[in-house]
Amino acid sequence: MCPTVQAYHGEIGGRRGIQFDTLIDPEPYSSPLEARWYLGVTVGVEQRFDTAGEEHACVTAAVQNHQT
Amino acid sequence: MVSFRRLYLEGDVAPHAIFWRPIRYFANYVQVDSDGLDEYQVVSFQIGNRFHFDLRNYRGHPASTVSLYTRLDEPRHIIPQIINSAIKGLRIPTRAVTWKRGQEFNPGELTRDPFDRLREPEARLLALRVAARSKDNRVTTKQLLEKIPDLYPFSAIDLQDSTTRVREQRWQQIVRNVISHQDSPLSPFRLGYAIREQDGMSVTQSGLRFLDSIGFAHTSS
Repeated sequence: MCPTVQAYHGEIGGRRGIQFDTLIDPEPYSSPLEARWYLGVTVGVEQRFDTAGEEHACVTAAVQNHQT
Repeated sequence: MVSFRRLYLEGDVAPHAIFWRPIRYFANYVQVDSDGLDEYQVVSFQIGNRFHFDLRNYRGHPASTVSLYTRLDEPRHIIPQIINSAIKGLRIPTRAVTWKRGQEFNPGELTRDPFDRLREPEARLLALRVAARSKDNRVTTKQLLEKIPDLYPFSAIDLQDSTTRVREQRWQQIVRNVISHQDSPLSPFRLGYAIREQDGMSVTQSGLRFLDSIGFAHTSS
């Protein structure tokens, strides 16, 4: 499994989740409906590890939390 | 030939095409799963013994669309071959192909072809699919007209008034033509895929095999 940042394009609207803006271009292997940033594949994606030692893909972004 | 697969893709996937047809259009057996993006419905297919692909509808996608996914590590040079084989094998009308890899797009923008509408060749397949998932593989014309809206997303053209039948819309006229044009060379009746019944049609074993050959799993067992 390749750690990946995945998101729908556009505003989150009334749905639950997070909305983010980033200057890092997604992988060209995206689609009109979604964007993906693959660690080790997409330029600008950073490697991060959580407290359990699990590897994650990370993009620098301005984040809005809509999870509540 | 495209075959239905019960096992869908695991691991990293990439989207390569979008079709303006709902997932139930393609199979009776739809599974639900989730990944890092969201929850999705999925049906899976293979082309020959070599290539696999999923059709998925994520919760945030338009409900009337499916996206075609392959494994991320599928060699890039074969992606067009997979897309084109899927379109041909699943008998997807050209105007239902809303986007495919290689075409420019604006993120977040997806528009159905304004000329996408139900035509008789597609209506024939829909009629076979509806009948195949009905009791005894038999369906009346009335049932066809009731069930097709569950499988096919009407366009503005489909909903225009029929030019020949009062109080009917164009799509209804097209569906009725499938039954009434039974002597047409491409009619499912002439091809042996269906038998004309007094008030509708039933699918033959040959018709069920034909549906299998275009990837349509008509049972959930």
